[in-house]
Amino acid sequence: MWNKSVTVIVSLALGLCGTGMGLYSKMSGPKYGYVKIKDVFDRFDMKKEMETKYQKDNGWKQRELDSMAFVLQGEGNRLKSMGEVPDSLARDFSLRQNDFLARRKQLEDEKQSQTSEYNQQIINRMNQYINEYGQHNGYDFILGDDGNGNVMFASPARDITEPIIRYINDRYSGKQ
Amino acid sequence: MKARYIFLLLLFASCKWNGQHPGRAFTDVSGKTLSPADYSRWFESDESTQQHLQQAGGKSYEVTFLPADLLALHEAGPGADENAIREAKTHYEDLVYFRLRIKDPDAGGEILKENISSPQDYQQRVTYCAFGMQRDISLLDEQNDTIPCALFNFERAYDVTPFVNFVCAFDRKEVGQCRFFTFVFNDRLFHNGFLKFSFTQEDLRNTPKLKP
Repeated sequence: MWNKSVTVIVSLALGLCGTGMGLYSKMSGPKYGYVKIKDVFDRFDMKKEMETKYQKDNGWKQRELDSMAFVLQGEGNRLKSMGEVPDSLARDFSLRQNDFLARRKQLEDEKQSQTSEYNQQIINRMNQYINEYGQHNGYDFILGDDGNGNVMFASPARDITEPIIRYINDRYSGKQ
Repeated sequence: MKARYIFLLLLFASCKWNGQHPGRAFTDVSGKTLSPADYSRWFESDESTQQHLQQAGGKSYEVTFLPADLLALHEAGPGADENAIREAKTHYEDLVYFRLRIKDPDAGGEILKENISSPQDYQQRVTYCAFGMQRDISLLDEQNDTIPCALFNFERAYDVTPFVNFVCAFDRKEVGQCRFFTFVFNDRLFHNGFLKFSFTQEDLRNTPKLKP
């Protein structure tokens, strides 16, 4: 008889507990947080590494172009000081100047396309990891505060920028 | 009596299926020796626990450590005798092998044919996989020094599988000196940037041995 009563009480307690937890999760509403996008982007290790790679890839091309510009400037000053410049020298100088301008344009185009490709890769990965963080931690919403008025007010208690930065850097390094 | 059943039902409902087949479960095999048949079964059943995963641009990147015993077993073939396996193992002792698998869960056919506009694009991808990709794969040790990929093999899948496999190997002596290291792939195939997979020496040691 006593055993039966204990079983009934335990079963009822478990049932009540389950119902209580269900009701609590319904009543507490959606879980949300916000991140300061600029901070996350700037402190994302992938961004720092891609920046280094970009500088390494383009550094020598830029230096080559700078040397060309230096030589051309010297050549231009020399021609100016000559007063009357022979046609052949002027033509040669003009050809080299055009070559320099074409190369500079090409490098600028390459840099621009590389910048937008790298930025896209960084943003995609950042979004991917933030998405994973939200799923793993049971978030319904993670808002992005970019300082442009998308988020006009949010309690600092909902600011998850720091844990997100830690998470995305750990994920990027392959540790998680 | 009814309440007891309710209690048992609640208890049962709170249990979670772990997805493992009871006949195939291998627990704590590190350092243990397994027969060739069990070794293959262990790798198949535990493969997912050996994998290091990253996802980017809708693709899934998996890096799996391939023990020398497993490769020897594959080379010797099923039913091979001890001598054949021992002989095969000597072929894999100088390097540490990993498999990089790139897959797209939504892909219908060959992953290399995704989002291409011409047969030339496809050819370019195949050429990159066969000859250029090795340069974009390396290991970084704890001092951030690079260990280059010493051996690389691209397994062409054609339209058979929605994934593509690459076997990459690194000098065993150099890898053996690191407590931990990172497998780095700079993805210029699908333009997803750097992908990193962190390993410890423990990951390599915690595999069973093949019964001699």
